[in-house]
Amino acid sequence: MESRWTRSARHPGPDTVYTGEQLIESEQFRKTEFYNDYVVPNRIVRHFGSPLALHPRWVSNLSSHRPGNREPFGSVEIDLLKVLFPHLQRAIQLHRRFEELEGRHRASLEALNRLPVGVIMLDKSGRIVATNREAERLLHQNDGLFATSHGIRASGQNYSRELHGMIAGAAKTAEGEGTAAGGLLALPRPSGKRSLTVLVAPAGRNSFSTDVKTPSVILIVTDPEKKLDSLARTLARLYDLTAAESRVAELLMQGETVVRTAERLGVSHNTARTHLQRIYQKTNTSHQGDLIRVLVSGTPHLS
Amino acid sequence: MLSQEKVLSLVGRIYDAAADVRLWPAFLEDFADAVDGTTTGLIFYDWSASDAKLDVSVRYDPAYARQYVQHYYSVNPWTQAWKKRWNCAGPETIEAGDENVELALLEKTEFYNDYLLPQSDAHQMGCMLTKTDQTFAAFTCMRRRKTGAFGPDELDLLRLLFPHLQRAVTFRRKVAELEGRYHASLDALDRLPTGVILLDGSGRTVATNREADRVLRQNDGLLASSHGIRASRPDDTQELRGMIAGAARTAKGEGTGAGGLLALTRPSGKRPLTVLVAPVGRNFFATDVKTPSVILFVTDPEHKVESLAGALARLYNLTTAESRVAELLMQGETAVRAAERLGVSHNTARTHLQRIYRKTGTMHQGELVRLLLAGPARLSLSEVTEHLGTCAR
Repeated sequence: MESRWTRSARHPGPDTVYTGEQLIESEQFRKTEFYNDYVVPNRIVRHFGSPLALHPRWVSNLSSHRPGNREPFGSVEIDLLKVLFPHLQRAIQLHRRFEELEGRHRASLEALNRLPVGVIMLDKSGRIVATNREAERLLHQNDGLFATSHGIRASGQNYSRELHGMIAGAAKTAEGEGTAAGGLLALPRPSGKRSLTVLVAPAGRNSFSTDVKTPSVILIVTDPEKKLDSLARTLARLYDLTAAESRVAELLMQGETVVRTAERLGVSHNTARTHLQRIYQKTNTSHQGDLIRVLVSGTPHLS
Repeated sequence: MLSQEKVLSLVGRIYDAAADVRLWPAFLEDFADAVDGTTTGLIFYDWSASDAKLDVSVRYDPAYARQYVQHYYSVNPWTQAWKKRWNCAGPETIEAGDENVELALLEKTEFYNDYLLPQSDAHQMGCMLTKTDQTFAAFTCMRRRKTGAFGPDELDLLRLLFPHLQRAVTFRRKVAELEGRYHASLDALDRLPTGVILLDGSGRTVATNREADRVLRQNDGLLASSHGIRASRPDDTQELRGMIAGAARTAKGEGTGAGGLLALTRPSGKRPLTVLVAPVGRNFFATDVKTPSVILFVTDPEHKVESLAGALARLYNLTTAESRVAELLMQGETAVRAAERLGVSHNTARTHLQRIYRKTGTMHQGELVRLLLAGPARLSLSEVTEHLGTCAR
């Protein structure tokens, strides 16, 4: 049964529409275990269908069944499937196209969700279309940057005005009506925490989509106060640091001085300094600023 | 009435166009043939915009189409009538223009005399396919005066095709929406200093961001080949591929491997690249499509953040001299070396540094460098700083 079906599957087309009776001699088939224990109890004795599309790794097939006490499928059904054939093929093609796009979209969002920066996508009128995880965290804090029903707003009218100006400029550029590249802003926070850094940029390729709500502007927001997640183990693994050394490296990376680091770890200043020398050696750096640069820019900080 | 075969062929053309918008003209031509029509097209109106957009049409004179969008759209008596009567989209909106505006009345309008008559057109039929708060999509077909008005046969054909046209337009909108979001996500990834590589289940590259392209171009530590991604050293390649395969299984729901972390040795002797391998959330329904199932995050410790001085000056209100000092510290220089490179005295550099601390709210060098790296340096700013260079703060 498989072999004849497989042969026809190589060139799916209206001519590959088959009935169960055409695929296999009935008497021979009726002696098989498959027929007696699977086909009969499942009431799928009568059977017709066709392979629809072929790919190196898979084949899609349509089939329909009837119980054995009904008439076998004949020319009426075969002709119907032949007429529908090109439409079924198109449907599969559409489905695949959509799935492919959706898969890519999902993966790109997931990548954005794992990065320590906030990403906010806005439509051409400034309304929020999508946000990543870090952006949600930041907006949730209502500290420096807010989400409203009209779009996005900063703490302080002047900052809001400047932000809106940049967004409008970037939206025009995305629509092909301007050349403003967006801009860069530091937004102070009422809580007194360090300012958020916001990059405003035009986004997306809006071709053929006048009636679609697609992102025209992206905001990328970084929060200098965001604690880097525990990276001690990552650092230890990447630079072959001991547990004690990686704890020192992590605290320095969070912005502590050597003295404070020693205090927080409950070790003497001398011990901390010895650790630091070894860390310099292992990371091939020569002083604190250089070390922090290598640690911060060379370590994947994922949220 | 058209044969079933012809109707089905038109239906097929509609879905061909749903899959590939470039195929709309093929359907529109066939339809125009079937009903003896002239200009035939799909129109997408945005209520908020002042002009109409003829998205796709055939058998039109480009000069007239331009004039239509610029002017005649606003004086088109058929459109005026639609706006009043078409509060919804659906097959009940199928009608001939002659039902809306009598020919005798039409003949008295500017629209007829200056727009239709020179093109020998006088009749029309159409319908509203979809409608939202902001927009609507319509189908329209014109006919020459001498051919006569559209009759029941032509309107019936449009009724048969209606649900298919509606589905195709809806599908197109869904795809455009997804496409827009996908491209915006890629744009966002392009602006980050971390390299991002999306791989399919067999480790082949599906998409990369700008930083990943830069790293791959160097052929130093991480390489893209037709068989998938690999490392410079065979040992590293084996470990990398093992992690990718594990993450891909997790993405398919067949395993629990969470990926992993690798340092890839570089032949150039530069500091190793750091690669984090992670699975993409489960793909339920994608066995037959090439979707990404693994993400690689690549960081290059040697990549110096360049030309950030302009951005720093703007963000923290630094003077030009101060922002240069800040930039050098951020690139890993000591204050002494920074002074030397800028050709200023150590004292001057120290004064700059004190002001930078004050303006950025930091107390010592480690804290400053961390602030700059955690804030502005997490963005790929080169483009923006170029732009900022031309506009004064």
